[in-house]
Amino acid sequence: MNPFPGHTDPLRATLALVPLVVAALAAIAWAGRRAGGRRLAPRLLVGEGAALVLLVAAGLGHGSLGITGAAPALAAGLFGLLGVHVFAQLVALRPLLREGLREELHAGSGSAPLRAAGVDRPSVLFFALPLVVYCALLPWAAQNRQPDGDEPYYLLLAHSIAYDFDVDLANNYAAADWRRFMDRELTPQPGDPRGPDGQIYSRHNALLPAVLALPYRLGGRIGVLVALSACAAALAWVGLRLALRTVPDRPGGALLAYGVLAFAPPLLLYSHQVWVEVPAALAVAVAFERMLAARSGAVATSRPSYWLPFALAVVLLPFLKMRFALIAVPLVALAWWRGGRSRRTLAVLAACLVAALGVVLVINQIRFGNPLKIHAWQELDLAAFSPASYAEGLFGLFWDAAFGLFFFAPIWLLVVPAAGLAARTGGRCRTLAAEIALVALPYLVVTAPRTEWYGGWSPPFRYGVVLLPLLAAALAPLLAERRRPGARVVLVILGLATAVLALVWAAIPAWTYDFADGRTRLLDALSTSLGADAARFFPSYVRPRLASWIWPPVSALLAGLPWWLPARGRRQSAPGPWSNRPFARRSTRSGVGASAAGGATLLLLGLAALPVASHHLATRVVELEDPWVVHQGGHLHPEAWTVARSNYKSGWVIRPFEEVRVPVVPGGDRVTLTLDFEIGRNNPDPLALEVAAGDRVLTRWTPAREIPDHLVLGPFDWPAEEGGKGPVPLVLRAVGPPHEGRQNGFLLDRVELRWR
Amino acid sequence: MPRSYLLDTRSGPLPFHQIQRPRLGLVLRLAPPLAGLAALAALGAGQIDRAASAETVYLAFAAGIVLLAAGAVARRTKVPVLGTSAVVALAWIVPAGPARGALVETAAAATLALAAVERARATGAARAVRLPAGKAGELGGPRGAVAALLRPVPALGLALGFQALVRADELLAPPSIAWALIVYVLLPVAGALVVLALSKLEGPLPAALAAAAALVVGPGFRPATVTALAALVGVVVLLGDRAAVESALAAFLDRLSTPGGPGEAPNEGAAGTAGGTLAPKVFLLVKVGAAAVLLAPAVWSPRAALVSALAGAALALHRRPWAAPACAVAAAAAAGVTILMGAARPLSVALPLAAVVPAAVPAMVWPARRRIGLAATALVLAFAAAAMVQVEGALAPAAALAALAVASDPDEGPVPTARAAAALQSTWAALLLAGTALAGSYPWLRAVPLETVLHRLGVATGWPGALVLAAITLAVTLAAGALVQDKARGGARAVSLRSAATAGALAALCLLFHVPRSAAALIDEAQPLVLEDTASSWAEPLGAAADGGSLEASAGATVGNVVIDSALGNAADLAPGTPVATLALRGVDLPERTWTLRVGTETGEWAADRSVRAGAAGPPVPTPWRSWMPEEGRFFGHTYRAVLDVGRPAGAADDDGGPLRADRIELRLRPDLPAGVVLTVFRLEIRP
Repeated sequence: MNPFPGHTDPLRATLALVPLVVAALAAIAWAGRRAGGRRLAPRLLVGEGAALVLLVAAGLGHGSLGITGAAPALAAGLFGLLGVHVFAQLVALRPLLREGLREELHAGSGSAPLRAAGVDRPSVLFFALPLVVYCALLPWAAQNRQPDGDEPYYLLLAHSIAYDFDVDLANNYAAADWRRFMDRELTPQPGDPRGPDGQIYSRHNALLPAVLALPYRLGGRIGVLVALSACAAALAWVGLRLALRTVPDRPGGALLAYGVLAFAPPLLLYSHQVWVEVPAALAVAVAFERMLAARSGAVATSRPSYWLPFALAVVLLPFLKMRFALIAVPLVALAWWRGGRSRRTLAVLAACLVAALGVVLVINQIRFGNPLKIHAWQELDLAAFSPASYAEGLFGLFWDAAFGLFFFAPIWLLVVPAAGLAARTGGRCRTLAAEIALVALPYLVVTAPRTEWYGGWSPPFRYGVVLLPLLAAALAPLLAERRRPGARVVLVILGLATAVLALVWAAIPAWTYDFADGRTRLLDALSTSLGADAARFFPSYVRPRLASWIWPPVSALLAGLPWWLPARGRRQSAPGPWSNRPFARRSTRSGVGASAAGGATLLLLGLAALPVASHHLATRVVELEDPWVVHQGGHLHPEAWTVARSNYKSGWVIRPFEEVRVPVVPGGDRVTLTLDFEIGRNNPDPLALEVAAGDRVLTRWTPAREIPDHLVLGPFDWPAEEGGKGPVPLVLRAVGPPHEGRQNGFLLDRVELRWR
Repeated sequence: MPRSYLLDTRSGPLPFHQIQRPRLGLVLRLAPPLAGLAALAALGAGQIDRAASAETVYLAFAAGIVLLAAGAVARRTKVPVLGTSAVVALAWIVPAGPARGALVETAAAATLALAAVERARATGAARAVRLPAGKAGELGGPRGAVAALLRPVPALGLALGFQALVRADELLAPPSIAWALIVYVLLPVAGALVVLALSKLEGPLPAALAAAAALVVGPGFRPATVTALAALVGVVVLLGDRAAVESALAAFLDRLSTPGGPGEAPNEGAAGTAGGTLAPKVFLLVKVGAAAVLLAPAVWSPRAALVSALAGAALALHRRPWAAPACAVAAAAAAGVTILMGAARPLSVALPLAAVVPAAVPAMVWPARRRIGLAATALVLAFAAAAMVQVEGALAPAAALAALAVASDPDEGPVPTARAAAALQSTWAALLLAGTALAGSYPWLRAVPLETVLHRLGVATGWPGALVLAAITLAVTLAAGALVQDKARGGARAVSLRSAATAGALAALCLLFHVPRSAAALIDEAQPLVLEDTASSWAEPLGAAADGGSLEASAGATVGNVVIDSALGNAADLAPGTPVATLALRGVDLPERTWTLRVGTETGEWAADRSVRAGAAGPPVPTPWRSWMPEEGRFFGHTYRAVLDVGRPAGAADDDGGPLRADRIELRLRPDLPAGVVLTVFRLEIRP
């Protein structure tokens, strides 16, 4: 009997991998115990086993059990179970960091004890655990998500290198080699260079595809994804090393920071995607960690174990992507500054970097006729951008509900109080923050004002992924101070939200791509279900709104303030990490439950408030293409998935006999409407816009010769209810005679409602 | 008479701050479920799709009660927090429909189960540490864990939560508030109190096993279930040893006067008790009450009252050698008289129905020492109840008695085989309780969930399945007992664990191997097929159809079964057995063969529940396969599943002996149906 569901079943590959994942996790648990880690509680394992059996049984028979549409939820259940096990395993592995530190405390400070503590080289289990998790996610992601954005081009390039030993893709496009890893037809990207003999090259750098050629040859797309998962796991491992460098005496904080980096989005999702960001982040992490090691005296700058990894990482960055040079340069400067300011070091490192940059620029000039490929030198002119562009890009990179880090994985909001902690405490913490800022700021300053700050055709925070290990390192000192009631509440709220969202993103990978229309799929689904605008309460920097400027300060305050509240019993638990541990644990245990309950209750009450607020707070701004607006005819403009879509005003086109109905929450008895729109004239027929409150026509506006950018209509009396059918909708209707062929129409962008 | 359990008096009073903590803890544990309920209700109130809104509001009630119950049962906030978060996330994110209902209800049930496990493990372990070494094995293991659950707050929580799950269908638009209060509050509360009392008389593990068996066959707390358990207590109070009964009741009343937190000690001397005895007047009142409890059901169903009373008498007098045979004879005589006078059920129905008891309590094949008579009486009572009583939960007294025959008295010492049997029964009972709760909940809403659970585990219905279960139990019990006897000391606990683990592993294997694999569907619920006057047939070639779950281009497909999930519209007036559609399979090199879908057997009216709730008889329908929420929100819509065993056509000369291969499937609505009748096929699946 075939133990697995049919070939077309979305859970087939995931279920087939379950025995291997279980075996790998068992091996990690066994190895961890042998290395000095704690034993996993038997009752936890029994519970996990029972849950696994139920989930696998439901997965095997979901089509026959009447839960056909539940495959993503079952996958999320399996991933959630994996998350529970990983959390427990991380706690069990903590002694691997702590035991060494105990020795260090007894022996005094110095590089040797640090090495013993595992700071220099944490256990390989901290590499194996994320690798197993990434590989466990891989079958589901690979089966339910086609390569997207730049991914197929990297894969095709890898294919060409692996099989043709060249980077000419003309023959690969002609032979449809993309069929080996995707179903959708792949055509060259705009801006791809052409050779004199019809060659087609990719505009993407060849370093990553060259590295991936061997895995591709061995295992095709899955081979590539496994290789990149290993790369992401290596990044997590180096991230732990980096976190331990920042808080060598607080392994708990470092371990939590490692957990956030390795097992929360974005790395969790980028781990099985083909982007240069993860390898680049690995290079940045390696270079930064070596720099910190040199600063702390753990390694001499003259030793190959210092300069070889550092130089290699720095040199690889521009080869991966030109923009990463903006990180490589300050890294070299910082390494020189922190590494004894030796001129020889500076000369060697700078020479390496300049040589790498030169090679890249020359190759680009030869192939593209432009050293910056498809970019221009003007993009580096920082004065050419308005302050609003900087603000939108910088805030958007972190706070945007569709593309920002904090909505993708709310736990990362902790970087805000982490920055506050650095500013407050000073010393080593502030130095670290300054170093991170020095490395990250040039890159952010150049990236943020770009119109494509959100990363384009990719999951959120693409341009920021390269900075993730630095952000994780910044989190470590803050997480070491987590034993405060307020801090725990914040951690529970952010942690629960992150866990739920991570499972959603992992189970439905397509929901991470918001580029289609610049909106947020999750909020769109909610708004559509409610028939009300729930998205207005969340920030968007593609379409800035009031919430875009309220969220950053308020969320920063709410996330940061609890860390500054006085901690009960802190005086007893603060002085040292080990001496008073039993007392500290006893004093905080009762608070854990209360904090968890309080945090979860607050989060759930906030969630409960969302539908209520959506239906009861007055409608003031309506984006007319939003899905909660009822469209009777017409179409979206520009089309979804239009390249560089943020450059266009989104709107909804209506032609005669078509209308939009807006479920309005009235904020008064009279309303004045301000309508942003455009007119499309395709024939000489008359055209008018009719505005109605339900069935009652308020006005009919006929365009004159001069067409304004926006139209102010009213004030009108607004009825409270429509014959007992609930709130009255605002209706915008195009009026004109019927016409064969191309019709006239209105492109309706947004309407503002001022109530009195 | 067994020695009474006075668990808390042994552990001694705890410091004041530890007694007070659980009260705040209960508030903290209930806060996340309450907030989750608010989140679900707010979503339901805000949704514009009426069916989705009705379903969300229903789930807010159905899952909310279970989450609150889990909050009461749990010992710490972790389980309620995580469970509530999971339930709310699923309800908010998964699109409305039966799949969402299934996920939400499963998550809620899992939260309740986790809370129970956490409470049992944590408190049981704590007890084991506090007790003297000699008593640790007795109270710190499974018994201690069960005792931790049999405290007022957790027991009430479990009862309320289980009732909300297993009787989920009646939560939607109950006839009246009073009725809802009786079904969802009064019955479970009364049931929980009776089980608490029984635990004082018989010990926590026997009481828990008896309650589990009664609830599984009930299903849930029904009048017959509660009265059956109450009768056990009542007869023991009336006929049992006075000193032991007094001591147990004193402990019970003390327990009721203290909250059910983890570390509470009883208030010695509270509730009119002094030193484990009752005042004579109080004891007299208790006896009068017990007699009333015993006689009251006679007003409603004398036969049910008789069966319950016989079960109680068998339990109360089981140490006397003549008692069990006498009760068995009395039950058999009553059943015989009833049959002669016109039994409630014919023998052909009653006999297989009685097999439910050994299927629910397979460990009765290896009863505890001096309780063999109880097991035999339980079997006779099961048959008598099946023949005599036609109310829901009629078999509860027999099932409870059978479970009481399994669990051994604590003063009989750790007999390895008895422990093994009890451990097996504990695991089996937990599995059945969980399965029953799930099968009874939305969207499955099974009226007889035990049957569904046994079917899913691959256990055949009737006596064959019961006998197989008994054989497996016997084998595992003997093997576990033999292994431990070899190892001498310290093996009593090991045998329990090993037996439970074996039972769990066996059940897991059965579940994994018996669950039907998802095969390729020709019609999927995402695009259901609607057959009506204007489009009365549908056909599909099977050249590239399902074969072993895969799509293979071949000459025809192997067809073993055809699974059709369907429902009729506007068919309430059709007579039972009316043919509504014909399924035709054209075999490769074989003539066309047909099967008929009939009203009341293979399919039925989707809105049958509407007329049932309105008090009418309702159209004939088979057991609903799955339910969903229509826009009206006052009743459930149903889908019905027909599994047509196509197999090899009778008389067909298949030289190779292989299964039927077909190259075309067709579904045709009958032309002689009244106008307006619609057949909707939600899923059509071909299994090889």
